[in-house]
Amino acid sequence: MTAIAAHETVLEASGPRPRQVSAARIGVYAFLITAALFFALPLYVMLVTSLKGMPEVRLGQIFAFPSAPTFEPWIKAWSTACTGRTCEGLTPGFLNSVKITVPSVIISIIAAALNGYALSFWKFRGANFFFGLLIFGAFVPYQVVIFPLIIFMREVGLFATLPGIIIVHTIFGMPILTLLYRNYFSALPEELFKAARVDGAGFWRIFFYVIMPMSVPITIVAIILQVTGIWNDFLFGIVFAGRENLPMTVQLNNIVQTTTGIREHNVNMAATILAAAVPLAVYFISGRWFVRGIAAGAVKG
Amino acid sequence: MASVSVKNLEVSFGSLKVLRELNIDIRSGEFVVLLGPSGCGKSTLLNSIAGLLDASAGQIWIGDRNVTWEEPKDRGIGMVFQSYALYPRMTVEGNLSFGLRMAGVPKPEIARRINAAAELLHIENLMKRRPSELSGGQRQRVAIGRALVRDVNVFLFDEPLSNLDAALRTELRVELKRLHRELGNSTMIYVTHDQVEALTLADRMAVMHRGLIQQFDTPRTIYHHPANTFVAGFVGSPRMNFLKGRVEQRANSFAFVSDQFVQPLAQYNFVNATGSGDGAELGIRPEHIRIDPDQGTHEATVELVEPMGAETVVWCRLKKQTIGLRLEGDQSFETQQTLRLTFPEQRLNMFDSNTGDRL
Ligand SMILES: Nc1ncnc2c1ncn2[C@@H]1O[C@H](COP(=O)(O)OP(=O)(O)OP(=O)(O)O)[C@@H](O)[C@H]1O
Ligand SMILES: [Mg+2]
Repeated sequence: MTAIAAHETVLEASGPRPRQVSAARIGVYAFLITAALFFALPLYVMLVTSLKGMPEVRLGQIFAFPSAPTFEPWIKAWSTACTGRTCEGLTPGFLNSVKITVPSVIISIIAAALNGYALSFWKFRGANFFFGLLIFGAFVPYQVVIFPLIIFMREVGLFATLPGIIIVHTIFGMPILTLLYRNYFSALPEELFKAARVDGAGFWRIFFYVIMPMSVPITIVAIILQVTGIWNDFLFGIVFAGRENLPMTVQLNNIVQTTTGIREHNVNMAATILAAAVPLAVYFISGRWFVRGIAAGAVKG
Repeated sequence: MASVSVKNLEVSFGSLKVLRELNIDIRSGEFVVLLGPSGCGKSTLLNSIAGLLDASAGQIWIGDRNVTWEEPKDRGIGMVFQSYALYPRMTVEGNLSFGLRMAGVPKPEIARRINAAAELLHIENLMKRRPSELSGGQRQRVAIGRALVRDVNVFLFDEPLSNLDAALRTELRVELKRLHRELGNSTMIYVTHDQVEALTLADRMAVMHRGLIQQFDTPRTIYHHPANTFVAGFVGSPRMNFLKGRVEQRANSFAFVSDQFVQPLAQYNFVNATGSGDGAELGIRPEHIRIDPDQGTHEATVELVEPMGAETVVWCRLKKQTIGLRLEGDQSFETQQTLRLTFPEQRLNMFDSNTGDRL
C-alpha cells in the first residue's frame, strides 16, 4: 500500500489544475437560474393566491405570502364553484377527463404499436406508401378536418358522445405515435423477429411475447405524450365530447369565465392548478421511469 | 430423412434478382458450408430455405416434402443467427422453451428437452440468466440450444461465430463439429465467409459468387481442383498465383507459354478441351512452388519476406509478375536474392482467361 501511495505522489500532474469554475460556467448557471425563476414565478403567484382569502386577494399584493393560509378556495374550486347554472366545481370535469383520457391513451397506444409493428416487420406491399400517408396526417392542420369529422361523426351517430371523443383522440394520436413506434421497431434487430418466426410464433404472439416486452421505454414516452396531450385538449373536447362529457379544461374555462358576481381569483387559481395537476404528476412520476427505461433499453442484449 | 434440395430457386428484392436458377442438393446428415464474399446471397439462400424469404420462382424440398410455401415452423428446421437474436426480456430458460411453448408441447417434455440441450452445450448453470448477463460465447451456445430443443433434422447457421474472438471461434468450431457427430443424422447448412471455418467443418462446401454457386464439392476438391478462377482465388491464403499466357500444342503434348517462360503440360489432366487457344491462365498455390537451384526453370527475385512462425511467405518477382511462395518457417531469405523455381505439373491449374473456367 505505502509503495503505491509513494508512487502516486511522485506521479503528480504538473502545471496548474484546470479551474473548476470558469466565467462561462457562471454565465450558464446564471442563465439557467433566471430561466427557472421566470417559469416558476407564475406558479408561485398562483399558489399563494389560491391560498388567500378574498379580502387579501383584493389588496393586489400578488407576491405577498398569505397571512392566514386557507384551503377554502381549493375546496370551492373542486366541489362548489359555479359554471353557468350548475355549481359542482371541477369534479364532473375531472371525472369526464378521466373517462376520456384513460381509454383514449390505451386504445391509441395499442393501435399505434400494432401499426408500427406491422409496418416495420411485416412489410406488406405498399407499406411505405401507407406510412407516408400517416405521416402526412401529422401535418394536416386540425381546423381543416374538424368540420368533415363532425359530419362523419354525426352520420355514424357518435357525435357528442364519449366513444366519439375517444375515437377522435385515437385518430389524431395515430400519426405521431405510429412514427414513434415504427422508428423504435426499425432499430430492433430483424433477426429477433426471424428467430421468433422460426420458433413458430405468429403475428400476435410475436407482438405480445417478443416485441412489446422490449418496448417499455418507448411505451412510456407514448403514455406521457398521450396523457398530457389528451388531458390538456380543449378544442376536441368542446367540439366532440358533448355537454355530458365536457373535459376538465372546458369546465375550467367555464368557471374562470363566469361573469356573474365578483371574480374570485383565488378560486380560479386553485381550479387551474387542479386541472394542471394530472399532467404535472405524469411528468414527475414518469420522468424518473422515463430515464430509467431509456437507460435499461440502452444496455444492449 | 432430412435432405434439402433447392430447385431453380429465384429470389428477388424488388427488381434486384439476388438468386437466380440456383440448384443445390444436400444429402441427409451432411454438413454443408456456404462460402462466399459479402453480399453474394448466402444469407438470402439460407433465409429462403428457412422460409423467412419468399421465393419468386423455383422449389425447396426438405426430406420428401415440397416446403416452398410452408411456414418456417412447419419446415422442420432450426436456425442460429449471426447476432444470436436471443429474446432480451426472457431468461435463458425462457429463450430455449419459447418455440416449444408456442408449439404447445407439454411441460414435462419441455423440461426434458431443455435439460438435454443444456447438458449437451454446457449451459446448465446459466438457465436463470438474461441474455445481457451472458458472454458472447455463452449467448451463442444458447442460440444453438434454441435450435436444438426444437428436435428438428435440419439446422441452419448464418455466420454463427463471426461475432466472436478468434480463440472462442476455434473452440466453438470444434464443438459444432462434435455436435454434428453426436446428433447423428442431422443435416447442417452453415454460412460463413471464413474459409478456414468452411474447410474444417464442411463435408461438402458450396462456393458462391454473385448469387450463383460456383462449385459444390468436398473441401479437398475445391482446394486442389477449383472449377474456375473465382473459386481458385477465393479459397486459400495467400491467394493462388495466376500467370497469364496461352496454351500451345508442341509436338504431341501441350505447353503453357507466356512472354517470359514455357511450362510443359505433358502430365496435366485437361477436364475440358484446351479452350480457345489464345488466352489461358496458369494457377499455382504458393505452397506448391518448389525451389530447385539445379533444375529450376523459372528465375525469380525475392522482393519481400513475411516470416509467420511455422511458415514463411516469400513474395518474388517473376519477370513482370509477382508471385507468392509459402515455405517452411526455418528457411531465411534475403531481398534481391535470385531463386530458381519449378512448378510441379500435378499441382497446376489451368483456366481459360475469357470464361475463367478450368481447362
Ligand atoms: N432486404 C433486402 N432488400 C434489398 N436488397 C437486399 C436485402 N437483403 C439483401 N439484399 C441484397 O442481396 C444481396 C445478397 O445479400 P445477402 O444478405 O444474402 O448476402 P450475404 O452473402 O449473406 O453477405 P454477408 O456475408 O455480408 O452476410 C446483397 O447484394 C444485398 O444488398
Ligand atoms: Mg449474410
